[in-house]
Amino acid sequence: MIYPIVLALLAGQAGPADYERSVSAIPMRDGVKLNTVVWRPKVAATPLPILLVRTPYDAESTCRGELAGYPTMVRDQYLIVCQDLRGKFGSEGTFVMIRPTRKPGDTAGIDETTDAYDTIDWLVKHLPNNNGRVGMHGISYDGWTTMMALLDPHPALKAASPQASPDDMFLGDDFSHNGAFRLSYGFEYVAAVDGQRFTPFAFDRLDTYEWFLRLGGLGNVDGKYFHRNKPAWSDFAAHATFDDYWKSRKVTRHISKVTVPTLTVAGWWDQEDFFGPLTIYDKMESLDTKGLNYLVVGPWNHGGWAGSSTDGESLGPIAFGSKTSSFFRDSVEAPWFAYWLKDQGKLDLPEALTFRPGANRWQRHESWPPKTGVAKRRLFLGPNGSLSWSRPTTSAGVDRYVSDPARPVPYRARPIVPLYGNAPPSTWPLWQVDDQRHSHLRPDVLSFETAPLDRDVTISGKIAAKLFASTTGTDADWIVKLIDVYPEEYPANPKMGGYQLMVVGDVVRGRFLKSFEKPAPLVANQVNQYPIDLHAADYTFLAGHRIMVQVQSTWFPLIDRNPQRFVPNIFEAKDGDYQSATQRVFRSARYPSHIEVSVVEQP
Amino acid sequence: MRRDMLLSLILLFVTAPLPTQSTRADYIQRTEMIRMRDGTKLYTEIFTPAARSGPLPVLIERTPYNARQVGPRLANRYQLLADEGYIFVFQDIRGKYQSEGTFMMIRPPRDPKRGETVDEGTDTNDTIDWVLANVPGHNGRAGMVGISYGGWLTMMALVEPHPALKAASPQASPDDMYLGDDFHHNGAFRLSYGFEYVANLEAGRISEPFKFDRFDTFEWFLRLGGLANVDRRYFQGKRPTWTDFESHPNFDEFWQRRKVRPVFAAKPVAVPTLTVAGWWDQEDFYGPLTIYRAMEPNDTKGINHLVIGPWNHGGWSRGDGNSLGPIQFGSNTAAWFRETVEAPWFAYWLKDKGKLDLPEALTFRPGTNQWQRHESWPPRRNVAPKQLYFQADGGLSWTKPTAPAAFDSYVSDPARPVPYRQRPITPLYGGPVPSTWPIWQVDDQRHSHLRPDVLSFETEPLAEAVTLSGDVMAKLFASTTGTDADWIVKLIDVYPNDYPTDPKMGGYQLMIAGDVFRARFRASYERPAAVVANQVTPYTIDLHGADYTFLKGHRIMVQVQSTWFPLIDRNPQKFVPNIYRAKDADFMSATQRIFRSGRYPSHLEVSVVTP
Repeated sequence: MIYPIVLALLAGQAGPADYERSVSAIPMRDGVKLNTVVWRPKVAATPLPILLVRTPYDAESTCRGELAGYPTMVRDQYLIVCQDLRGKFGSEGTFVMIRPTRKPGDTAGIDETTDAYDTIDWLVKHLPNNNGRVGMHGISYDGWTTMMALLDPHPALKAASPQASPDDMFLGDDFSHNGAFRLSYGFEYVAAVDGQRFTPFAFDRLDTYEWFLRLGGLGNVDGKYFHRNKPAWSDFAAHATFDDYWKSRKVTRHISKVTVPTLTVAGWWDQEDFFGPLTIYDKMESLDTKGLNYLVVGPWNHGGWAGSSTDGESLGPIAFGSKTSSFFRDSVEAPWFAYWLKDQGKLDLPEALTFRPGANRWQRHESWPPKTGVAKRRLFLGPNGSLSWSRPTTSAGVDRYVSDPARPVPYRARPIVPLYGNAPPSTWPLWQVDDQRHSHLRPDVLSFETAPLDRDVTISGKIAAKLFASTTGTDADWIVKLIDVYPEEYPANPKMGGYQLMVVGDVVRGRFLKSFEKPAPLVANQVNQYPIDLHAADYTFLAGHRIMVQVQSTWFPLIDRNPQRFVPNIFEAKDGDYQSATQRVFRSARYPSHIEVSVVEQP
Repeated sequence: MRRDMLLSLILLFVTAPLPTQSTRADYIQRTEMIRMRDGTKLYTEIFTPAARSGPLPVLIERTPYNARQVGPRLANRYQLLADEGYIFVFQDIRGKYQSEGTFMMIRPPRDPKRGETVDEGTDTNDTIDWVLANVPGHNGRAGMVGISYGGWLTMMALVEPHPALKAASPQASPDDMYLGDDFHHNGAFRLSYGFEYVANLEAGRISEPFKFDRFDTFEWFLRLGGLANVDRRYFQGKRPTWTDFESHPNFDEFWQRRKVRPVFAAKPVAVPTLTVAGWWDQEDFYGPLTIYRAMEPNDTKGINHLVIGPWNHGGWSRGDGNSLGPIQFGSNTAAWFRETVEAPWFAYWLKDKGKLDLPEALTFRPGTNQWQRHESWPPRRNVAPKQLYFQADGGLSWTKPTAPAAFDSYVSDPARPVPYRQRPITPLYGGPVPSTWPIWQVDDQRHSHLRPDVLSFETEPLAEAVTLSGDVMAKLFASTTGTDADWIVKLIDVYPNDYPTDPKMGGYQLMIAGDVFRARFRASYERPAAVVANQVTPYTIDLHGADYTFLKGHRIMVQVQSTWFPLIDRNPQKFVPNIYRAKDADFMSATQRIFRSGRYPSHLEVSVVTP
């Protein structure tokens, strides 16, 4: 197959076929050898930079994905290197889920930072025809390994793009949000990943909603299924508060400098790690004295900006009017690496680049969140399911519902199929763009909505809910979702009429109201003020749409069931601990529940 | 895509005009305005085979849905009959499309005391007279066929049948618009259907679907508030049937006059009759069953037959019937019916052709997916009545409970009713996307399962297949904190959770039978009465019938709920004299209790096939 290669080279269109593969076992400082796959162009005119991905998901298939999914960078030519982490696939050693960073002063130990360092050191010394510069990128776990490399970067590491890296597994990313356990994900991920190979859990039931419900208390997971063979699960159960186990794994606690150009990437509808990239960007920005730190947020689910299978023109039924993913890969990521690793081109990247769904265009920002051109405004819950910019003035105002952990609100329409199944194919990556009508007007969900908007409302920046609420129980979850309600009649696409698209949403767990370290029972029937971080959005609610807020206390099995009776550790809750509770959400002058948003000021 | 196309065809068949396509080249069409006895002329299309082979019988379909759209069906729905050779007569009934006169919804048989001189029966007889006198080449025999409204028109032709009428197949004919068919079930109003059907059919001579300004009719009907708003905001007195709904909230003479079965309960069956029904008929399932049963005691000649297949409304008349939504039947049930049952039956009675190999009742039994021949319907032999009792912790079993006091409760809030299907619930007719109404009864009932306002009871996975064949009744012992309530009971087949043959069907909850009962009518449909709050009251809810096999490894489930919206209008749960005039403030939450104790053993009565 020489002929096509030559043709391609002549046209300047090198593709995967023009690369050849080799495999090395790279020794780490402790002697453990890591399986490393290298793909290099068969013909290269100049020394090339190295692009490194460190992964728990199989270096071989990861590298094939790099070759298939990044045509522009493949054409630009890199030495593409993918490495199995310790204990995964072809590598020696033991895998540790989100391996914590060495203690300061520990010079003998290893962690992902030293493994990255040792790997880069070996690569620049051993790979023929490298130009002495290394870039790293990766999504999710591989984004996190990229972050780990940045904590103590090898001098040859000249550019890094951590994409959807988790920051904090207890507060905001894969495993827990604000201390509320992400049951289906935590369970399925650990079952599949916490071992040498990727082995999805074999459910004996298509509908995992019912599977998790019949499971009963979380203590049954080890008793019935894992039998203590999944260390990460045992850790979840043993570390039900924000203790050192979680803190030592929190990325932003360990970032102390920004010396390597960094391009953080996030997706608005990332179903796994959205908190991470925003928090990491924030922290790095505060340390970025040289202007090396960048952020891109697009209309994507987890990793939706990458891979050969998507051009990012839509996500589920939501259309964006342009190929956002290919735009990112070809016009943002590839030029960015070429600039830092090959001295090619000019850098035309603002501090933060975000895609604004609704308006459906890319926005260039001088800062994220934007500091100018926006005003903080509050959307208040009102009577009769209303939502408005006016603070309530009545002395009394409350809505209530009964939350029954035995009949939790499904987080999507049933059946809720496994996250990692093929029969039928998983739709987990799309759940955040599901039509929220499945919850709307249920007896255990409150909904508040504005009248149809008479003009566009664009929010750009952070979003925080403040809920004034009480419960008859001694613990409670509070879930708040901010939703774009499409016009009831939508001739442009009739089946989208009245669609309820979640823009942001999250959960807080009452026990952690005062402290994530020391959970405490709630006082039954006492009104508490719950701040709920809904992170951020850059989103236009178009004229004629409505803004809706939904409030509920279960979101199953996305989030494990709160027994609604305080127990020291929910992982050890017994069936008898679960109880119904009546929840009250207030909307009075004294207790004005609301969502605070940053509204772009109209010119 | 294919399913969408099929659905749109189904929808079009029910009410809207089909796209006109060329009729069969081997038939010649003539168009007549046939004069009825009162001078009113009815538009009629007559199709005669171009190459005639001897005198042929006449086959009549009368319709409110535009006769011009029936002719093209010679190429599909009537293909086999057209191949056989008939003189087809398709006619617009009074006041619809090209016919003169005034349309009246379900026009009752004429009452001379009221000065009524015509009805659908006289119009049929006048039409037959005219055809026999004016269309050459007939053999002096007429047959009649029709589905739904057309099935009911067929029943009307049987009231005082023309001597030439020798075979009639009423298919999915309503019997009783108050107790069991299109407009009400047990007095509970079928809101979405009643509203949309009436809006459409009574829009004028030409039907026109209601134009919703909202995609999701669940929310549209909820925001509508009390039913009085319908006339105030939309119909403004221009839909006579809606006005009748409001004026006749109880089972009064208005509805009694429109019942079909009393006419037939009192007279011998004179014309061979083939009644056809579908297990998942979303409009008229009660009708064909009760009509068949009313006629059967008077069938001294053995000419009254029943066929029930795994179909939705009219599903036997189109497509191959190999499946309904996601449910597979393993053979082409609809095509088989048309070819093996319907066409030979008409040929036998109208052409003396062939032999009649039809049992008293022929039913398709989903699950085992086989046709069953019965000596009677419901079967009297090889079946045993059994009771499936509600148990603690959502259990369901054949054992009568013994606990002295036991119940489950839920709060039913009319402001947040249980959707009868997954939202958005799109319009039945004429919506911006193809309607899926015709398959709602095979929806996965997991959308309701484990909601806080729905109770579910299920057996263990069955160790052996269980076949029900015959009537299904629910006996509910229930109380409410309100003074009126709806009780909805659904019998469901729960597929095995792990279903390798078709993984996406794992745990599917398929409704086999289900219906609603409105508590105000527990003692009398004529005189509703408030329920005594908190008093345990027995309710018998007719779930009609089933011939169904719950296969080994499946579970039997019963769901109980008190709203089913907008299929059924919301019961205010506070007794009001007329729910059509209920005010917003009349609607209130209520706590419902369903008992499962030794004294109050709520259960289902089923007829189980014995080995």
